[in-house]
Amino acid sequence: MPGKDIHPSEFVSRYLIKDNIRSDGVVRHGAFLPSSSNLELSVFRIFNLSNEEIWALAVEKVEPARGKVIGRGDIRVSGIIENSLRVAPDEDPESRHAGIVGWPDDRNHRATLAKVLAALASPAKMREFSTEQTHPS
Amino acid sequence: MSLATVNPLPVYDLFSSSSKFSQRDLNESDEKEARRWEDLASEQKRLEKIDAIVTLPQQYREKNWDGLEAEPIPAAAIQEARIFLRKLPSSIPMPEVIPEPDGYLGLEWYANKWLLYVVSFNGTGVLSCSGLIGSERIYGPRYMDERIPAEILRNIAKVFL
Repeated sequence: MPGKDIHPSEFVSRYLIKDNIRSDGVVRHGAFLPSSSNLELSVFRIFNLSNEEIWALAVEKVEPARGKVIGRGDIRVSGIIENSLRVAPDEDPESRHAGIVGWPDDRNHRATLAKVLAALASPAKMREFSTEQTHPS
Repeated sequence: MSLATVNPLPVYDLFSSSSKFSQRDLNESDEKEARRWEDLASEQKRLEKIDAIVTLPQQYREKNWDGLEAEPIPAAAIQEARIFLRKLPSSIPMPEVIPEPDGYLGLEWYANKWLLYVVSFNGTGVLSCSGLIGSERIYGPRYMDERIPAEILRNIAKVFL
């Protein structure tokens, strides 16, 4: 279980739905553009999780609101910090949820930072769906 | 004996070299007219293509279209994008239209993850511009009057150099 403190070497994941991923596997910048209402971008800490556990986290935490998760963009926390942003973990580390915060007030600047994060998080890791998941009996 | 003497009625030879319109002039006139029609047809196709690509599915006009509280894309943003595209020189490739979760409609020119440029609209009349040109980060508001700002056209061109 990750501690409350985020280490720069740690990876966080932004789960992706359809239209978030280009045909060349590059994550679209829109996936990293925060809501203008609270300027916080949701990510999940995947420290010490297996691939299956990472996707299970998506099913539990993300799919109820966003629909089917088809991939994820993993980004090292150091890359986020280098762009003058911060990763703020939830109070409860068991949730593994964190927010990328510290976005500039200027929308144009935010849009450019979203493009940088999308580039750092590429190529997207695609989720493999088992036969049972795609054709439930 | 000349034709004018034999035939009392005046005859105008339209095709002689001394007449006002020569055969060559008429051919050139026909060609110009044909090119004009071709240009109009081409422009009509271009306008139809623009209308098609800025047509957004209704889902993007509603709040929370991405399941994460995305803002709806206002109709005014779509109209701004349409006007912008109509002013775009035909030598520039058509962009991809991308709805953005903060309520902007983006026109994106993309080469790779470090070479892309987006002009976004939200219906307020201000163009939100942002892009990555290699290590260079470009961003800032711009305003469009009769023409697209030259700086925007230069940045788009950089994506395809």
